Amino acid sequence: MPDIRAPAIRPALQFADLTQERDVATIGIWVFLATEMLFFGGLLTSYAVYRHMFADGFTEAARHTKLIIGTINTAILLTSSFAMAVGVEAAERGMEENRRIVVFALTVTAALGVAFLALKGLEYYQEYQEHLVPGSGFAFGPRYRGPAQLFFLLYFILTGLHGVHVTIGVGLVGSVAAMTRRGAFSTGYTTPIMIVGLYWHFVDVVWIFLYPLIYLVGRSTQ
Amino acid sequence: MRLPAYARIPALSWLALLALLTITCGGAFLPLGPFNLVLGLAIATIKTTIVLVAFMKLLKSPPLTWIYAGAGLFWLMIMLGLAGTDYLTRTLLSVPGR
Repeated sequence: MPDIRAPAIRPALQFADLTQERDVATIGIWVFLATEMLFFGGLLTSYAVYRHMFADGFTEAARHTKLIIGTINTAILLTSSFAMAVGVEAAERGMEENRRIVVFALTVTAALGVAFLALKGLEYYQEYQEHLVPGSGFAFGPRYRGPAQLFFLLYFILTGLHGVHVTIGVGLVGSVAAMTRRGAFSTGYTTPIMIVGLYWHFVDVVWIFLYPLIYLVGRSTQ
Repeated sequence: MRLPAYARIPALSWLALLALLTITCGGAFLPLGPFNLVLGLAIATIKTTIVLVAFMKLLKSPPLTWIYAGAGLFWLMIMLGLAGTDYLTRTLLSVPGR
């Protein structure tokens, strides 16, 4: 058993021990994630209302999303969450002997995040070229122009905000990877890695719901 | 090949998630009418459960975290539920004079 009272790792002043600090940090990140649920939830509520009001227009518009890029990006994020989970698990089971695998797993997580953003950028570029950005010169004729612009407006806001979250996540995961590498954590103290992991998995969950709502609409009826 | 102990549950979950992604993507091309949406959201919910339990280890977290995670979901349901009682019923029920 590691001695959690070793001088190298002490809890912050207000905590009795590292376990309490860890529990409080876990609860804290979940409070933040609850606010994030409602943050994305508000946009998803608008999506639900407009999709109900303009079902045909949304179906028509959603067929123009890039299914292949979206599916590959979903697989990339799921794989990144797998790498993150391995990193957290390996760190908790023995930071000293697993340090290299933890650094590797966290680096892979961040790299997959960057790959996701790169594909997202390619997707935005294709959509820009196909005049799918709401505004003058929008690709759709008068019949579906309004609803299709609403769909793509929600698409860009939802995926854009999600992209911001992935970008922040890449920074956070990269930071804990660097900290792990220089030995900032030890077996009794891996809380920051676990907390960053919870954030990363949550961003993955948001995408898990965006995927069927954006990319899988209207595929069976074209 | 034996995976190290720390990678076993994540690896199994990852395979399940990729299998579910294949199913949801393929299922979207089946002509199920409104049930395409139901299928998509049902699979998203299963994937989320796997992530919550296997990756985020919610059940092994302090019980107070369940309250916060549950509160997020609860208020989300209130938002979707109350918005639904308004917007969904507008097209179902007629309003006198309109």
